[in-house]
Amino acid sequence: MTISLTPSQVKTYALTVVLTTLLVVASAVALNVAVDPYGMYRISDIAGFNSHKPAIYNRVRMSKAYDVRRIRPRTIILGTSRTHLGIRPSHRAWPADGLPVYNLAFDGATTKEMYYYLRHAHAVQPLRRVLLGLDTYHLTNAPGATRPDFDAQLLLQDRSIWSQTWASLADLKLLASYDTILESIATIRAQKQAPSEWFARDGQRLGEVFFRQPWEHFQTLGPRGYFDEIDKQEVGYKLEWRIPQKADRNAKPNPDSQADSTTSLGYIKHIIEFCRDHNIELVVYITPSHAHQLEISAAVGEWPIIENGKRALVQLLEDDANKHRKSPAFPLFDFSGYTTVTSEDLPPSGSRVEMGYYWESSHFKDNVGDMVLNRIFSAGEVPRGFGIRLDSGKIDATLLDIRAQQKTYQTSHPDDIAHIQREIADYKLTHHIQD
Amino acid sequence: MLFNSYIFIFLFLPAALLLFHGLRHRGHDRAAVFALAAMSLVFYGWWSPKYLLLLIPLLFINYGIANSIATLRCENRHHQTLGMFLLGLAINLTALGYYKYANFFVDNVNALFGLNLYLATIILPLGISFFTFQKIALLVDVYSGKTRRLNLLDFSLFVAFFPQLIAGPIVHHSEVMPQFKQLGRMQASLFILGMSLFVMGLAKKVLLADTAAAYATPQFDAAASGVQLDMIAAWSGALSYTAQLYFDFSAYSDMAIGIGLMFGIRLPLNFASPYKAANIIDFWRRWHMTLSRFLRDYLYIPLGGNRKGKARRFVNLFATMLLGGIWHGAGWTFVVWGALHGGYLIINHGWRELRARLGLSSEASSRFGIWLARAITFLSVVVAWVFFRASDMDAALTMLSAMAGGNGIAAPSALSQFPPDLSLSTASVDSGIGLGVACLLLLLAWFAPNTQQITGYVGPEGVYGSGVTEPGPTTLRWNASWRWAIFIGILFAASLMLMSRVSEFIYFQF
Repeated sequence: MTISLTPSQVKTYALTVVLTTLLVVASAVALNVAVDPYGMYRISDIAGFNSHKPAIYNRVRMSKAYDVRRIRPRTIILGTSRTHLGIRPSHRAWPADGLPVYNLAFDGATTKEMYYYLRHAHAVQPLRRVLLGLDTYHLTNAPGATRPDFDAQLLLQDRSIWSQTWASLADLKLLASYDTILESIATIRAQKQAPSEWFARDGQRLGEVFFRQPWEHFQTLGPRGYFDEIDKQEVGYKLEWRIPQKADRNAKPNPDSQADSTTSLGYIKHIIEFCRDHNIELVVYITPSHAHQLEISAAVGEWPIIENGKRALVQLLEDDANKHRKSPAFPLFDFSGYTTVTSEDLPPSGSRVEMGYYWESSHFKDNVGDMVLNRIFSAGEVPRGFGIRLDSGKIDATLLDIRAQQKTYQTSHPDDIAHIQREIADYKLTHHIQD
Repeated sequence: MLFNSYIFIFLFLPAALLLFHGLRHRGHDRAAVFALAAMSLVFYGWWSPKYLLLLIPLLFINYGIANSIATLRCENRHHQTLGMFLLGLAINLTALGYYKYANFFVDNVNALFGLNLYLATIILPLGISFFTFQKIALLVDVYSGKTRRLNLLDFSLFVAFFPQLIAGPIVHHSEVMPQFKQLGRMQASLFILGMSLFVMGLAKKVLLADTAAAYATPQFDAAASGVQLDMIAAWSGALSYTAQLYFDFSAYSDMAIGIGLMFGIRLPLNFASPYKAANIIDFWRRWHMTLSRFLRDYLYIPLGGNRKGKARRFVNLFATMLLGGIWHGAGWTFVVWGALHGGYLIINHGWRELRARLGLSSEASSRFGIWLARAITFLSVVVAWVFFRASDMDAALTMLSAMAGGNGIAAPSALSQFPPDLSLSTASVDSGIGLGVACLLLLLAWFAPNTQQITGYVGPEGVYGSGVTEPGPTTLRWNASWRWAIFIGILFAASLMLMSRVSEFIYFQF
């Protein structure tokens, strides 16, 4: 087989292929920059054309990576959906030397993701302060993990030219993607029925907007029905790993799925060290979930794990403080005890009465978030016992104290406890879990 | 590194091309061959450098053994030649057996005798099935005197040449090693043909195979987790997979051939519109052609082929297909797949025999007869693919019983309108759309000309001779015109844009 072509024919052909490719890709990039469906640049947000960006709502991790680049915060708030919903960057307690504040928490955040986002934010703009909101499930030796929509390529690692270039290539990949074209078109078409936006520009998820959308279960089931639903879900999260699995003989091994050798607590250590090395003031707090969450953990036998987790966290901070005696220690506030806030009574079954402090057992409202900030920055009123400063001297006494409070709660709320026990027994029965 | 990754297209391939052609242009042909072999090892080691710890020692061992065999043969030391040959065979088969089949073996021994032997999961090095076969073919040919002493550099490139290393074509040494000596006289036009073939393959993968996969995977996953699929869902899954596998694998071969041409090396054809086959014998001449010829020449014929009577011939055929099945993967589903094809081939040969006795031609010649034959062949292939794809025997049988109507028919769910952005969508794919997409893709497979008909590409010269291309429509024939260049450019851009899926994930309860 021979093809006889002159060298110039060969050159023209190759050049035409390359130029056509470039032209098509460049047109796609231009469209996507103009519409900017993920709010990457916000060069021009025009009402009726692209100001409402629905594509963001399913891509909070991605969108926040770009928010940070644009807003260049000096204080970031890290955490899960609890912190995402509950902590206001607009609260007056935030010290003026760390403005602007950005809420960089997102749903289901793992400590590994938080560490990556911390480095990203610091590479964009040197940080003054970090508020780290941890849930008790973070305080374990489980391998570090990320969620499927986490993409490390979008994040800067440091200020080096390599990292910048790498991130720019990731931008280009996004902008040249067919999916982004579809989202651009969808964005233009979605302008007419733009609903109120629950994703605030400072990164907070506005519960008052989010939960009041007509299709949200908070609305359809009512506050109490929704609370019960989340209790049921939480029982599932706690027990699903115990569902008996049938061994899969045919499963093909995947060479890429090796477990991370750094643990969840290990990434917290990385965060502490990173803040220390870069002169960032770190404040750690354990989130104030409702007593029902604590009771579910206790009922499935996880209480010792929670206590050990807190001890380990105290130890990490203590080790850091001992190494850096000249600087102030990083404080840890535990809001996860039984207080007037976390023990708020549930509305009666079937009622549509709303709770004062909680959307459901996991997510607190931002009035609770305000109290958290008041306590941390000594900026206003806080109920007694809400937010205990933990250190190695106080940890044992505090844990004993919480156990005593737990006993009191269990005696004073027999119906709540019976309800939780029933949910657990039901779940075990349906999923054939043996004790 | 996958061919359909940015790192390959924008970094590895340009770097390898620049290095190779740069050296070649300056007249350093051997250095160019060396650079290409070295780049191939980088390509392979990219997945996991550990893989190289198997590939490189095997390369040197096989080289040493092949040359020893050649020397011993010249000296007429028959016993030692045989011994050396068997040693080579044993080393290659042991490596393959250990990495590919040890876990499977231990699992089945445990199940059979109720034991509890433990063997840590062995990670299968990529492409081991392919390069083991290539080396065995070479050893056999050296042993039988068809090939003489080897040059280490040529041998290394033959084994490691990256376009064909991971998933074929299973190149025969007689096809490529002579080409390594003639790289200085490469035609520039081969380069743009290679570029065009690569883009066509990439588009086949990204536009067609991946689309089919989106409708195949959920149905097979559902069957594996015990969901009772309805008839439409089951057929949409099976047919989508039938389309996916063909476009995926033939896309890979197109890309491999295209990349080969960019380096001036012709790789053999591997696919020739297999679903156009009118019988199973024909199917195996069109599907994964380089595997078929390997199995024929290095397994079926050494077993005795058709030289030892009809009964033995059928046994040989069946054994060959059974081994061909298990070559694809260590699992009972692959054994069943191979057995089915062995059975099909026996029926096909029996049918021909019957027609001959009745004084008929070996194949139907009427238009209706040909299409009926095609339909029967196609359906047999689809049934076998269900075993090939399913995660285990239970899932395969669930799928087949659903295809037979065991769970009734359900109307495909209409596209439900969820409130924007918020629902946690657990709904599987729409089986009606899946069926439609699969049928469209299969129409392409039946009626569109294949890449070699479009480009006129035929394989390399070698013991097999260059491939035969069925005539295709001349209007669609590739040439170096600006129209083709623009079409290929658009195809390339579309593929690049589809290669990056933007992840999206919706959940709010943590």
